[in-house]
Amino acid sequence: MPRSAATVHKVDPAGLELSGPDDIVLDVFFDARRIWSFWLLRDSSETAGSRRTIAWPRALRRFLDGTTKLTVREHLDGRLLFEQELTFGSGTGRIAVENAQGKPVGLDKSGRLQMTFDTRTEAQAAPLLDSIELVLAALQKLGIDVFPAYGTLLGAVRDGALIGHDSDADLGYLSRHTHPVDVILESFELQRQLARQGFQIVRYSGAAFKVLVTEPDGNKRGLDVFGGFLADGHLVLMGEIRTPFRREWILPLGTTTLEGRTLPAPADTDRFLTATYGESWRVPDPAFRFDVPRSTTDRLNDWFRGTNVHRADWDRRYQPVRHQRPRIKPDVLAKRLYRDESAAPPDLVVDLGCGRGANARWLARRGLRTLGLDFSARGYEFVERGARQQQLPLEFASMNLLEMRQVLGWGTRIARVPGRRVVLARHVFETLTPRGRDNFGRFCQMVCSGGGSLYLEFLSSAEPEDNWARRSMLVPLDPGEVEAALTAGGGKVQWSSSVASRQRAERRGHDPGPRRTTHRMVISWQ
Amino acid sequence: MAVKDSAPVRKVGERLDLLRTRKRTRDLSARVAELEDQVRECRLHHHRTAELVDVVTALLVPIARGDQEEVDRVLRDYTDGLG
Repeated sequence: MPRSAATVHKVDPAGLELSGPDDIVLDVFFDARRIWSFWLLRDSSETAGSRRTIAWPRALRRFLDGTTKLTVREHLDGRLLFEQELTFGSGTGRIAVENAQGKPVGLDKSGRLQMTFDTRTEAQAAPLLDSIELVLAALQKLGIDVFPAYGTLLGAVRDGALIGHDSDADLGYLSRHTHPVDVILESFELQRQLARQGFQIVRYSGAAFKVLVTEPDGNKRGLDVFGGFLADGHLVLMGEIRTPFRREWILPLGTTTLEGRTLPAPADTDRFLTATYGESWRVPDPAFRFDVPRSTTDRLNDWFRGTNVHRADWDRRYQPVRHQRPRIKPDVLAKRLYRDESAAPPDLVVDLGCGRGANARWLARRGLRTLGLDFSARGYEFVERGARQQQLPLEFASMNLLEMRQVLGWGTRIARVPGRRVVLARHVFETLTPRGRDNFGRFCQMVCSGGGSLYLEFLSSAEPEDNWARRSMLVPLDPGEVEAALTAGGGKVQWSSSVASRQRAERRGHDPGPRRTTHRMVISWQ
Repeated sequence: MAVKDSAPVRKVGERLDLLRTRKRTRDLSARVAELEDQVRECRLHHHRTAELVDVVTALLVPIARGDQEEVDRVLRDYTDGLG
C-alpha cells in the first residue's frame, strides 16, 4: 500500500514542524549534502492538532549560523518534501558542517558528527578497505573466524558497498569458547598478539576492542572488533546481540563482496543480519536504533562492560587541544610535593591522571624522574613530544584504572623501580567508579610501599551548577570516606586540609565563582 | 438463617483471598528482585576472574620462569600491550 506523503510546514532555528500519518525516515540536506536523518513519528513530538515538531540535534545547533539550501526528502523514494534557501543566526556565509580539520561531517545513527562514507570518493574509501583486509588477515593468522559485522556486513550483503550514512567499519568473530571468562581471556590474548604485530589497540570492554591502523595519508582509523560466542543455543555478539542461533549459520564462513573485494561472511547472512537488524534489514534506515532487550543489555553489561567509563568523554575533551601547549604554572599540590620531597628526592614520581602533563613536566624540569599516566593518551601528546626533544626525565603512558590487570601490571612494573616512589593524583579519585576507586587504592599501595607517599587532591563539595566540576566529571566525596578507603591497606595520613574556593578567590579579589571545596591529603606507606 | 448469612461470609472469604494474593505477589516481586541482584553479583565476577587469570598466566608465570632481565622485559611487554 502506498504511504501518504509527509508535509514539512516550517523550518526555523528551533527545528522542523511537520505532519504525516506514517512513521517514515526523512533525510535533511544542507546544500545538497545529507546531514541528518530521523523517523517522522518516533523521533518527533506531537504539538497542536496533527502537527509534530522535532528540534535540531544538539550536535548540529552550533553550525546553524549562516545560509543554506535546506532540503527534506523521504529517504526511501527520495520524494522532495521541502526545499528553501534559509538563513540562521547572523552569519553571512554558507553553513559548513565540518570537523576541526575542515572535512565534511554528518550525523550518524548515534547522533554523533562523523565523516560518513557518502562524503568520500572511491579513492578515499580504498584505505579503509585496505585496513579491513589488513586486520582481517591479522586475526585470521591467529586462527580466528572473523568477518565484517554490523553495518559493514549489511552494506556488503545488501549493496556490495559501504553504506553512505555509516562512518566506521566493524568486524566480528565467533569464539570457540562458550563461557564469558574464556571469551574475555581470548580477547585479552588477541589484543596482546595484535600489539606484538605492531597494531595499536584501545579496549572497549572485556570482549571488544578497537584496532588503530595508520593509513597512507597519516590518518589513524579505528576498526572495531567485537567478540561473539555461542552458549545455551544463543549467539552473543558484543555490542547488541543475544539471540537463538545455530553454529552452522555462521561456520564454516562463506564470502561476501564489499566494494569489489571478497571478504569472509557468516554462512547464512540472511539469518545473521536478521539477528542484527530484524526482519526489515533489507530496507535502508539511516536513523536505525537497536532495540536491545533489557535481559541482553544486563548480560553484556555484567559480563563484559564497566572498564571504559568516560574514556570517550576524556578523548573528546582533549581532542581540540591535543596539539596546544598546556599552561606552564604548576598546581598547588605539585608545588607542595616538590617542597616536601626535595630534601630527599624520590626515585620516581608518578603523576596519576596527568591530563595535559603540565605538573609532570614542571616536576621533571626540576630534576625529578616522572612518569605521567592517564586514561586518555590524547591529553599529554604535546608535552610528551617536548619532553623527548628536551630529553627531560619524563615519560608518559596510557593506563586504565578501571581494569584490574592494568593496575596489577603497572603497579608491579613501577614497584620494580628501586628506591622510593611518590604518587601525585589530582582530581582522579572522584571521577572513578567504585571498582576504579578500589583499583586506585591498590595501585597506590603497590607503588608507594617501602616509604612512598600519595599526594591526593579531590573535590569534597560543589554546587550543582558548577560547570567546571560537571565538565571534569567530578563527583564530590566525603574526606572521611576517602581516608578510610585509602588507609585500609596500611597507609597513614600525614597531612589533610580543605580549601573553599570562594574564600581563596575572595582573598585574592577575584570573582568568587561557584562555591566548591577542594580537599588535599598526603598518605604514606611503610 | 444459614442461607441468608452465606453471602457476607463468602465476601469476607474472597476479600481474604484477595489480600493473600496481593501479599504473595508483593513477596514474589521482592524475591525476583533479590534473585536478579544475586544473578548480577555472580555475573560481575566474570570480568574480574578473567583479569586475574590473565595476570597469572601472562605475567606471573613468565616472571617466575625468568631471570631479573626477563622479569623487566615481561613486565614491559605486558603493560605496553594493554590499551
